[in-house]
Amino acid sequence: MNFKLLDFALHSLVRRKGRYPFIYITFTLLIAVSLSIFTITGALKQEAQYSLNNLPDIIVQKISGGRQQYIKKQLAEDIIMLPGVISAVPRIWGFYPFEYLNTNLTIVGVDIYDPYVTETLAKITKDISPLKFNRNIFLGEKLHEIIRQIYNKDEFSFQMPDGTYKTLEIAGTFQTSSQMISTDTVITDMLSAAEILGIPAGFSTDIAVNSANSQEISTIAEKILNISPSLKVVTKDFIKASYQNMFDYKGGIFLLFFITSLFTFFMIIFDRLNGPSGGELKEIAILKALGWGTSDILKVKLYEASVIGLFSYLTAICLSLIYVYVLHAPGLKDVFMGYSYLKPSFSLPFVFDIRVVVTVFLITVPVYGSAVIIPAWRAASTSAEVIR
Amino acid sequence: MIKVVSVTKTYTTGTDKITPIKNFNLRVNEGETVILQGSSGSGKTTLLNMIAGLIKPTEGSVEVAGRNVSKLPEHFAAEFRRETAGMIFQQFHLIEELTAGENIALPLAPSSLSRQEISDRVNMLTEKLLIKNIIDVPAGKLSGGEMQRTAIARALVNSPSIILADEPTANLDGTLTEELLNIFRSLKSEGKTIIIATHDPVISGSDIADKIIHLNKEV
Ligand SMILES: Nc1ncnc2c1ncn2[C@@H]1O[C@H](COP(=O)(O)OP(=O)(O)OP(=O)(O)O)[C@@H](O)[C@H]1O
Ligand SMILES: [Mg+2]
Repeated sequence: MNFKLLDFALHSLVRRKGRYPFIYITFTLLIAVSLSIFTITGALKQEAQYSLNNLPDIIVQKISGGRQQYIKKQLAEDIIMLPGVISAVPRIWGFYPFEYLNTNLTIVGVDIYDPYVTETLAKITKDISPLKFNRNIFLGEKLHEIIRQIYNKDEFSFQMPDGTYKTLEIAGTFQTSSQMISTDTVITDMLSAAEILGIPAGFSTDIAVNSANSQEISTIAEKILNISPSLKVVTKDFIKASYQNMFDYKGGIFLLFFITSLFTFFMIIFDRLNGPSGGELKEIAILKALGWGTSDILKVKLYEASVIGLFSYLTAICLSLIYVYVLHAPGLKDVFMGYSYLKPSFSLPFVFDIRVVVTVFLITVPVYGSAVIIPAWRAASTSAEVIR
Repeated sequence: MIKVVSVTKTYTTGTDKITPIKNFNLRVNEGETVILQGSSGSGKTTLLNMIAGLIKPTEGSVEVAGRNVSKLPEHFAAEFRRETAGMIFQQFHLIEELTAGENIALPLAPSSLSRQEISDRVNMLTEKLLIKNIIDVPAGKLSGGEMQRTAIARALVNSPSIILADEPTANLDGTLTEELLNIFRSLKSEGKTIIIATHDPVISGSDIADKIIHLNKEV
């Protein structure tokens, strides 16, 4: 490390003020975008992992005419008799169009007499008053706020399939940051849910099956299929695989976009540095005549590039931290999640991953460095004739 | 000692070939002052650049202080310039945004000298050349004479044994030319080898020239 050359490099940066802001800004933005994308995809994968872990091993659906139909609750009793099955629970859930927000609410019916359910609800709800049969709903904080704004009361009227209305009081809200239930979910008792969704008595949306041993899942799935040809089973592994596909697909598009912009950026850089300005060429020629070697000139360029690279990098880290953690990644998160209106308020558990930071550093800074060094090297090794 | 033996330099630009120096020989002894004369385009600058190891002859060899500079790899050619040669250019070629002092110190930046040693040398030279007062002035703001002295100080800062000056008086008026001659005289008395390319009759007609070489423009 030659500090006199470093001095000279810092001096040059100050001298050629006009030249660097463009490079600095583009480079900063590029790094900030990459950092943000990587952080968000990382967080989403974690989030997906979390929800996947809470899925039942097998979901049993009834399909006829190529469409999902309601399934007889009684079937659960047949399934639980199969060896290896530890639970088979009919689930009541579905979507309720909430036109005001142009979104679908997810209505989930729970067994309010089940102590496990009560306990779980108590854990995630804020102002706990127990869910009373055919009277109450629980919903997300944000949704609660919106409903309060629209109707100015703590209740919501659902229009049932026959056209009549069913009004339920809001008994409590759960934190939107809860990872277990997303913000557009409305929880109520099973009967109310069935009524709102128009599910006939004795039927359920699907049946959630858990096995004692994950190795037996496929055997159990086969046996369930043997009960009736109209049944369809969806295993946890299958859902995992399709989630993975979706992330890889979207991640891939972004990678493509990212590489393209990276490429464009370096094209611009190359373009700007390929022919160092006349003044710079002359300066290189003078320095060479004064006894500077090509390596000395390259060192100076390297120092310049490192200073710019480092500053850009630090600025970019700050920017992406603000974007992701403070602003919660507006825009980008929607692209990855396909979120509806309500969901952007849902905050992801973003983790600061040092590996991401290092990876992005390794992708960008050396490439930028060579984009600076290569043209400078060319200029330095052929500039002797410039001085006449 | 400088030995230029059977040197030919051909520039090729596209299909055009220019050969300003053809089968040229020159010998300059240590401590000698040589003037290169010749019309514009006769190859004076080309020759100086070859002696400095900045460009390589197409044919022949250039030997300076026992080193074959025409064969030196780039890295060693730079080292050779840093240690042995001081160059003064027609346009001074100072870096305008740097101060006079910083300009003078430039040749030593790649060296292993400490900042203190470098600043001692700069101080000594500026004192000798009577430009101590402008040491912190940006080179772009200097007068012609000050620029010239700064350029000379820069050429001398590495204590070179050989000084190569390319039309050093082209931008100077009569008084400044006289002053420059005095500086050359004193350098000569210190035993430096000096090569000056010029068409200024004041220089070629002065007492400092030990030899005057005429370069002819090739056609
Ligand atoms: N890098 C180069 N590429 C092509 N031609 C060159 C190059 N350098 C010099 N020449 C040509 O070689 C010839 C000699 O140039 P040179 O600069 O050595 O002449 P000079 O004697 O110093 O002229 P002047 O008195 O104008 O400074 C000129 O015709 C010039 O155009
Ligand atoms: Mg010339």
